[in-house]
Amino acid sequence: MHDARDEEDRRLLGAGDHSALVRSYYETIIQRCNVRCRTRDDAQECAQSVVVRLLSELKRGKRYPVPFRVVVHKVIEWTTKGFYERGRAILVALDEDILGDGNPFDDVEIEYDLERALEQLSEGDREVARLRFLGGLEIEEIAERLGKTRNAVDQSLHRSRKKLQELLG
Amino acid sequence: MSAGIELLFDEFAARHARGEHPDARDYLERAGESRDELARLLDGFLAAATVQPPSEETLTLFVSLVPESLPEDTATPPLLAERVRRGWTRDEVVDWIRERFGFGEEKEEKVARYWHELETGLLPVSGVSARLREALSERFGEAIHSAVEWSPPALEARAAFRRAADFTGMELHERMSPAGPEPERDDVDELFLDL
Repeated sequence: MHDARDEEDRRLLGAGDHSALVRSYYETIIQRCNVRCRTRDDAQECAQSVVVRLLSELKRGKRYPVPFRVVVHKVIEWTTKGFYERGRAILVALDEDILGDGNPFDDVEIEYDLERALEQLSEGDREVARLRFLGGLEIEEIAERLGKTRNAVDQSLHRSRKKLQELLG
Repeated sequence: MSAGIELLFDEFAARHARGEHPDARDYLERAGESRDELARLLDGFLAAATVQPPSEETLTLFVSLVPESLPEDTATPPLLAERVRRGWTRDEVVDWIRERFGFGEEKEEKVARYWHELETGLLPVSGVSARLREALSERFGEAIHSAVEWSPPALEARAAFRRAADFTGMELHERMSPAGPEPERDDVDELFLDL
Protein backbone atom coordinates (compact mmCIF):
# COMPACT_ATOMS: atom_id res chain seq x y z
CA MET A 1 0.00 0.00 0.00
CA HIS A 2 2.84 2.38 0.80
CA ASP A 3 5.13 1.29 -2.03
CA ALA A 4 4.69 4.45 -4.12
CA ARG A 5 5.17 6.68 -1.07
CA ASP A 6 8.31 4.80 -0.01
CA GLU A 7 9.71 4.96 -3.52
CA GLU A 8 9.16 8.72 -3.72
CA ASP A 9 10.77 9.13 -0.29
CA ARG A 10 13.84 7.22 -1.44
CA ARG A 11 14.07 9.47 -4.49
CA LEU A 12 13.88 12.64 -2.41
CA LEU A 13 16.39 11.27 0.09
CA GLY A 14 18.76 10.40 -2.75
CA ALA A 15 18.36 13.86 -4.24
CA GLY A 16 18.97 15.46 -0.85
CA ASP A 17 15.67 17.35 -1.09
CA HIS A 18 14.95 17.14 2.61
CA SER A 19 12.52 20.06 2.69
CA ALA A 20 10.26 18.49 0.06
CA LEU A 21 10.51 15.14 1.79
CA VAL A 22 9.41 16.46 5.18
CA ARG A 23 6.84 18.82 3.62
CA SER A 24 5.03 15.84 2.10
CA TYR A 25 4.29 14.65 5.64
CA TYR A 26 2.91 17.93 7.00
CA GLU A 27 -0.71 16.76 6.87
CA THR A 28 0.06 13.54 8.70
CA ILE A 29 2.20 15.34 11.27
CA ILE A 30 -0.37 17.99 12.19
CA GLN A 31 -3.27 15.52 12.13
CA ARG A 32 -1.56 13.06 14.45
CA CYS A 33 -0.34 15.84 16.73
CA ASN A 34 -3.91 17.14 16.85
CA VAL A 35 -5.31 13.82 18.04
CA ARG A 36 -2.44 13.19 20.47
CA CYS A 37 -2.29 16.65 22.08
CA ARG A 38 -4.77 18.28 24.44
CA THR A 39 -4.87 21.68 22.79
CA ARG A 40 -4.37 23.06 19.31
CA ASP A 41 -1.43 25.15 20.56
CA ASP A 42 0.28 22.08 22.03
CA ALA A 43 -0.29 20.24 18.76
CA GLN A 44 1.29 23.02 16.74
CA GLU A 45 4.29 23.22 19.02
CA CYS A 46 4.80 19.45 18.83
CA ALA A 47 4.40 19.54 15.05
CA GLN A 48 7.02 22.27 14.88
CA SER A 49 9.42 20.16 16.99
CA VAL A 50 8.81 17.09 14.82
CA VAL A 51 9.67 18.99 11.65
CA VAL A 52 12.76 20.68 13.09
CA ARG A 53 13.99 17.39 14.46
CA LEU A 54 13.48 15.49 11.19
CA LEU A 55 15.21 18.21 9.17
CA SER A 56 18.08 18.35 11.63
CA GLU A 57 18.65 14.61 11.52
CA LEU A 58 18.46 14.49 7.75
CA LYS A 59 20.98 17.30 7.41
CA ARG A 60 23.33 15.40 9.70
CA GLY A 61 23.16 12.54 7.21
CA LYS A 62 21.06 10.26 9.38
CA ARG A 63 20.08 6.97 7.74
CA TYR A 64 17.30 4.71 8.97
CA PRO A 65 16.71 0.95 8.76
CA VAL A 66 13.03 1.46 7.92
CA PRO A 67 11.03 3.53 5.40
CA PHE A 68 11.07 7.25 6.16
CA ARG A 69 7.31 7.33 6.84
CA VAL A 70 7.87 4.98 9.78
CA VAL A 71 10.53 7.36 11.11
CA VAL A 72 8.05 10.23 10.83
CA HIS A 73 5.45 8.31 12.81
CA LYS A 74 7.95 7.29 15.49
CA VAL A 75 9.21 10.87 15.90
CA ILE A 76 5.61 12.10 16.21
CA GLU A 77 4.98 9.51 18.93
CA TRP A 78 8.19 10.24 20.87
CA THR A 79 7.70 13.98 20.64
CA THR A 80 4.08 14.10 21.78
CA LYS A 81 4.73 11.53 24.52
CA GLY A 82 7.69 13.50 25.82
CA PHE A 83 5.81 16.78 25.64
CA TYR A 84 3.46 15.69 28.40
CA GLU A 85 5.53 13.15 30.30
CA ARG A 86 8.40 15.50 30.91
CA GLY A 87 6.87 18.84 30.06
CA ARG A 88 9.36 19.12 27.28
CA ALA A 89 9.06 19.18 23.54
CA ILE A 90 11.29 16.20 22.81
CA LEU A 91 12.46 13.07 24.56
CA VAL A 92 15.96 12.91 23.20
CA ALA A 93 18.23 15.73 22.15
CA LEU A 94 18.69 16.08 18.40
CA ASP A 95 22.37 15.26 18.45
CA GLU A 96 21.85 12.00 20.31
CA ASP A 97 21.26 8.74 18.53
CA ILE A 98 17.54 8.11 18.75
CA LEU A 99 18.04 4.44 17.98
CA GLY A 100 19.88 3.76 21.22
CA ASP A 101 20.14 0.08 22.10
CA GLY A 102 18.07 -2.26 20.02
CA ASN A 103 15.84 -1.22 17.16
CA PRO A 104 12.90 1.03 18.09
CA PHE A 105 11.46 0.42 14.64
CA ASP A 106 10.65 -3.23 15.33
CA ASP A 107 7.13 -4.55 14.89
CA VAL A 108 5.90 -1.89 12.54
CA GLU A 109 4.40 -4.11 9.88
CA ILE A 110 0.76 -3.80 10.92
CA GLU A 111 0.95 -0.70 13.06
CA TYR A 112 1.91 1.54 10.14
CA ASP A 113 0.17 -0.17 7.26
CA LEU A 114 -3.61 -0.16 7.00
CA GLU A 115 -3.59 -2.62 4.12
CA ARG A 116 -1.78 -5.18 6.27
CA ALA A 117 -4.14 -4.53 9.14
CA LEU A 118 -7.08 -5.20 6.86
CA GLU A 119 -5.55 -8.55 5.93
CA GLN A 120 -6.44 -9.68 9.44
CA LEU A 121 -10.14 -9.46 8.58
CA SER A 122 -12.21 -12.23 7.04
CA GLU A 123 -12.29 -12.17 3.25
CA GLY A 124 -15.81 -10.77 3.04
CA ASP A 125 -15.24 -8.06 5.61
CA ARG A 126 -11.87 -7.16 4.11
CA GLU A 127 -13.35 -6.27 0.74
CA VAL A 128 -15.99 -4.04 2.31
CA ALA A 129 -13.42 -2.38 4.60
CA ARG A 130 -11.03 -1.75 1.71
CA LEU A 131 -13.72 0.01 -0.30
CA ARG A 132 -14.70 2.13 2.72
CA PHE A 133 -11.37 2.91 4.43
CA LEU A 134 -9.04 2.88 1.45
CA GLY A 135 -11.45 3.90 -1.30
CA GLY A 136 -13.72 6.24 0.65
CA LEU A 137 -16.89 4.83 -0.98
CA GLU A 138 -20.32 5.52 0.52
CA ILE A 139 -22.22 2.63 2.10
CA GLU A 140 -24.73 2.54 -0.77
CA GLU A 141 -21.95 2.44 -3.35
CA ILE A 142 -20.30 -0.49 -1.59
CA ALA A 143 -23.58 -2.35 -1.37
CA GLU A 144 -24.25 -1.82 -5.05
CA ARG A 145 -20.76 -2.76 -6.13
CA LEU A 146 -20.69 -5.99 -4.09
CA GLY A 147 -24.34 -6.90 -4.59
CA LYS A 148 -25.07 -6.76 -0.85
CA THR A 149 -27.78 -5.04 1.15
CA ARG A 150 -27.01 -1.84 3.03
CA ASN A 151 -27.61 -3.68 6.27
CA ALA A 152 -25.07 -6.37 5.34
CA VAL A 153 -22.47 -3.69 4.58
CA ASP A 154 -23.20 -1.95 7.88
CA GLN A 155 -22.77 -5.21 9.80
CA SER A 156 -19.55 -5.99 7.99
CA LEU A 157 -18.13 -2.52 8.74
CA HIS A 158 -19.14 -2.87 12.36
CA ARG A 159 -17.06 -6.06 12.66
CA SER A 160 -14.16 -4.41 10.82
CA ARG A 161 -14.14 -1.37 13.07
CA LYS A 162 -14.02 -3.60 16.14
CA LYS A 163 -11.08 -5.50 14.72
CA LEU A 164 -9.30 -2.32 13.63
CA GLN A 165 -9.70 -0.93 17.11
CA GLU A 166 -7.78 -3.94 18.43
CA LEU A 167 -5.09 -3.62 15.80
CA LEU A 168 -4.68 0.15 15.63
CA GLY A 169 -6.21 1.59 18.77
CA MET B 1 -16.69 1.09 21.29
CA SER B 2 -19.97 2.98 21.32
CA ALA B 3 -22.05 3.38 18.18
CA GLY B 4 -21.37 7.11 18.19
CA ILE B 5 -17.61 6.66 18.23
CA GLU B 6 -17.84 4.01 15.52
CA LEU B 7 -19.74 6.35 13.25
CA LEU B 8 -17.39 9.26 13.87
CA PHE B 9 -14.41 7.06 13.10
CA ASP B 10 -16.11 5.66 10.02
CA GLU B 11 -16.91 9.14 8.68
CA PHE B 12 -13.41 10.46 9.34
CA ALA B 13 -11.71 7.45 7.74
CA ALA B 14 -13.89 7.52 4.64
CA ARG B 15 -13.32 11.27 4.15
CA HIS B 16 -9.59 10.78 4.56
CA ALA B 17 -9.65 7.97 2.01
CA ARG B 18 -11.41 10.28 -0.46
CA GLY B 19 -8.52 12.73 -0.19
CA GLU B 20 -10.37 15.26 1.95
CA HIS B 21 -8.75 16.91 4.96
CA PRO B 22 -11.16 16.38 7.87
CA ASP B 23 -10.17 18.31 10.99
CA ALA B 24 -9.51 15.67 13.64
CA ARG B 25 -10.12 18.13 16.46
CA ASP B 26 -13.67 18.72 15.23
CA TYR B 27 -14.34 15.00 15.45
CA LEU B 28 -12.82 14.79 18.93
CA GLU B 29 -15.09 17.59 20.12
CA ARG B 30 -18.10 15.77 18.72
CA ALA B 31 -17.06 12.65 20.66
CA GLY B 32 -17.67 14.38 24.01
CA GLU B 33 -16.71 12.16 26.94
CA SER B 34 -15.47 9.48 24.57
CA ARG B 35 -12.87 11.86 23.19
CA ASP B 36 -9.85 9.81 24.32
CA GLU B 37 -11.26 6.61 22.89
CA LEU B 38 -11.80 8.22 19.50
CA ALA B 39 -8.38 9.89 19.67
CA ARG B 40 -6.64 6.52 20.06
CA LEU B 41 -8.59 5.12 17.15
CA LEU B 42 -7.96 8.09 14.84
CA ASP B 43 -4.31 8.13 15.81
CA GLY B 44 -3.92 4.47 14.93
CA PHE B 45 -5.72 5.00 11.66
CA LEU B 46 -3.60 8.03 10.70
CA ALA B 47 -0.42 6.09 11.47
CA ALA B 48 -1.45 3.32 9.10
CA ALA B 49 -3.35 5.18 6.39
CA THR B 50 -2.05 6.54 3.13
CA VAL B 51 -0.13 9.80 3.49
CA GLN B 52 -2.21 12.67 2.10
CA PRO B 53 -0.63 15.72 0.45
CA PRO B 54 -0.85 18.79 2.71
CA SER B 55 -3.77 21.15 2.25
CA GLU B 56 -3.20 24.86 1.58
CA GLU B 57 -4.21 25.54 5.16
CA THR B 58 -1.62 23.10 6.48
CA LEU B 59 1.11 24.51 4.25
CA THR B 60 0.33 28.01 5.50
CA LEU B 61 0.44 26.81 9.08
CA PHE B 62 3.89 25.27 8.70
CA VAL B 63 5.22 28.33 6.91
CA SER B 64 4.49 30.19 10.14
CA LEU B 65 5.95 27.43 12.31
CA VAL B 66 9.08 26.50 10.40
CA PRO B 67 10.48 28.97 7.85
CA GLU B 68 12.33 26.11 6.17
CA SER B 69 9.03 25.11 4.68
CA LEU B 70 9.36 28.12 2.40
CA PRO B 71 10.09 27.39 -1.26
CA GLU B 72 13.66 28.60 -0.85
CA ASP B 73 15.68 25.97 0.91
CA THR B 74 16.90 28.11 3.76
CA ALA B 75 18.48 26.75 6.92
CA THR B 76 16.35 26.36 10.02
CA PRO B 77 16.68 29.53 12.13
CA PRO B 78 19.34 28.82 14.77
CA LEU B 79 17.31 29.88 17.81
CA LEU B 80 14.40 27.64 16.81
CA ALA B 81 16.73 24.71 16.08
CA GLU B 82 18.55 25.19 19.37
CA ARG B 83 15.37 25.47 21.42
CA VAL B 84 14.05 22.22 19.96
CA ARG B 85 17.43 20.54 20.32
CA ARG B 86 17.52 21.39 24.01
CA GLY B 87 13.94 20.27 24.49
CA TRP B 88 12.58 23.62 25.68
CA THR B 89 9.00 24.54 24.95
CA ARG B 90 8.09 28.02 23.71
CA ASP B 91 6.30 28.71 26.98
CA GLU B 92 9.42 27.88 28.97
CA VAL B 93 11.47 30.40 27.01
CA VAL B 94 8.76 33.06 27.19
CA ASP B 95 8.43 32.60 30.96
CA TRP B 96 12.19 32.81 31.33
CA ILE B 97 12.30 36.11 29.41
CA ARG B 98 9.44 37.51 31.47
CA GLU B 99 11.12 36.58 34.73
CA ARG B 100 14.54 37.70 33.59
CA PHE B 101 13.28 41.18 32.66
CA GLY B 102 10.57 41.51 35.27
CA PHE B 103 7.53 41.52 32.97
CA GLY B 104 4.19 40.64 34.54
CA GLU B 105 1.79 38.00 33.25
CA GLU B 106 -0.14 40.68 31.37
CA LYS B 107 2.87 40.94 29.02
CA GLU B 108 3.02 37.21 28.34
CA GLU B 109 1.14 37.29 25.04
CA LYS B 110 3.19 40.18 23.73
CA VAL B 111 6.48 38.55 24.72
CA ALA B 112 5.30 35.28 23.14
CA ARG B 113 4.54 36.97 19.84
CA TYR B 114 7.88 38.72 19.80
CA TRP B 115 9.63 35.46 20.66
CA HIS B 116 7.87 33.66 17.80
CA GLU B 117 9.12 36.32 15.38
CA LEU B 118 12.61 36.21 16.80
CA GLU B 119 13.09 32.44 16.75
CA THR B 120 11.60 32.03 13.28
CA GLY B 121 13.77 34.80 11.84
CA LEU B 122 11.09 37.41 11.12
CA LEU B 123 12.68 39.72 13.66
CA PRO B 124 16.46 39.90 13.22
CA VAL B 125 18.46 38.99 16.30
CA SER B 126 20.90 41.74 15.38
CA GLY B 127 18.13 44.28 15.95
CA VAL B 128 17.19 43.43 19.52
CA SER B 129 18.57 45.26 22.55
CA ALA B 130 22.04 44.40 23.79
CA ARG B 131 20.68 43.23 27.15
CA LEU B 132 18.38 40.72 25.44
CA ARG B 133 21.21 39.48 23.23
CA GLU B 134 23.36 39.04 26.31
CA ALA B 135 20.65 37.12 28.13
CA LEU B 136 20.00 34.90 25.11
CA SER B 137 23.71 34.25 24.83
CA GLU B 138 23.73 32.90 28.38
CA ARG B 139 20.75 30.68 27.70
CA PHE B 140 21.39 29.59 24.10
CA GLY B 141 25.18 29.62 24.03
CA GLU B 142 26.89 29.67 20.64
CA ALA B 143 23.58 29.52 18.79
CA ILE B 144 23.11 33.23 19.41
CA HIS B 145 26.11 34.01 17.20
CA SER B 146 24.72 31.86 14.40
CA ALA B 147 21.38 33.57 14.87
CA VAL B 148 22.93 37.02 14.43
CA GLU B 149 24.55 35.88 11.18
CA TRP B 150 21.56 33.88 9.94
CA SER B 151 20.14 35.01 6.61
CA PRO B 152 16.36 35.30 6.49
CA PRO B 153 14.45 33.91 3.50
CA ALA B 154 14.28 35.83 0.24
CA LEU B 155 11.80 38.67 -0.15
CA GLU B 156 9.08 36.72 -1.97
CA ALA B 157 9.26 34.00 0.64
CA ARG B 158 9.13 36.52 3.45
CA ALA B 159 5.96 37.92 1.92
CA ALA B 160 4.42 34.45 2.05
CA PHE B 161 5.59 34.05 5.61
CA ARG B 162 4.04 37.37 6.60
CA ARG B 163 0.67 36.25 5.34
CA ALA B 164 0.86 33.35 7.73
CA ALA B 165 1.97 35.37 10.72
CA ASP B 166 -0.54 37.56 12.52
CA PHE B 167 1.65 40.62 12.30
CA THR B 168 5.31 41.39 12.63
CA GLY B 169 7.98 43.56 14.16
CA MET B 170 7.05 47.20 14.17
CA GLU B 171 3.49 46.30 13.17
CA LEU B 172 3.16 44.55 16.47
CA HIS B 173 4.43 47.60 18.29
CA GLU B 174 2.08 49.91 16.37
CA ARG B 175 -0.89 47.62 16.76
CA MET B 176 -0.51 47.35 20.49
CA SER B 177 -0.01 51.08 20.93
CA PRO B 178 -2.66 53.82 20.92
CA ALA B 179 -3.29 55.51 17.56
CA GLY B 180 -1.56 58.84 17.09
CA PRO B 181 1.62 60.41 15.82
CA GLU B 182 3.65 59.25 18.84
CA PRO B 183 2.74 55.61 19.56
CA GLU B 184 3.38 54.70 23.15
CA ARG B 185 6.20 52.23 23.61
CA ASP B 186 6.52 49.88 26.49
CA ASP B 187 9.39 47.96 28.03
CA VAL B 188 8.71 44.86 25.90
CA ASP B 189 8.99 46.89 22.68
CA GLU B 190 12.22 48.41 23.95
CA LEU B 191 13.67 45.01 24.73
CA PHE B 192 12.87 43.43 21.37
CA LEU B 193 13.15 46.43 19.04
CA ASP B 194 16.02 48.24 20.76
CA LEU B 195 14.01 51.47 20.70
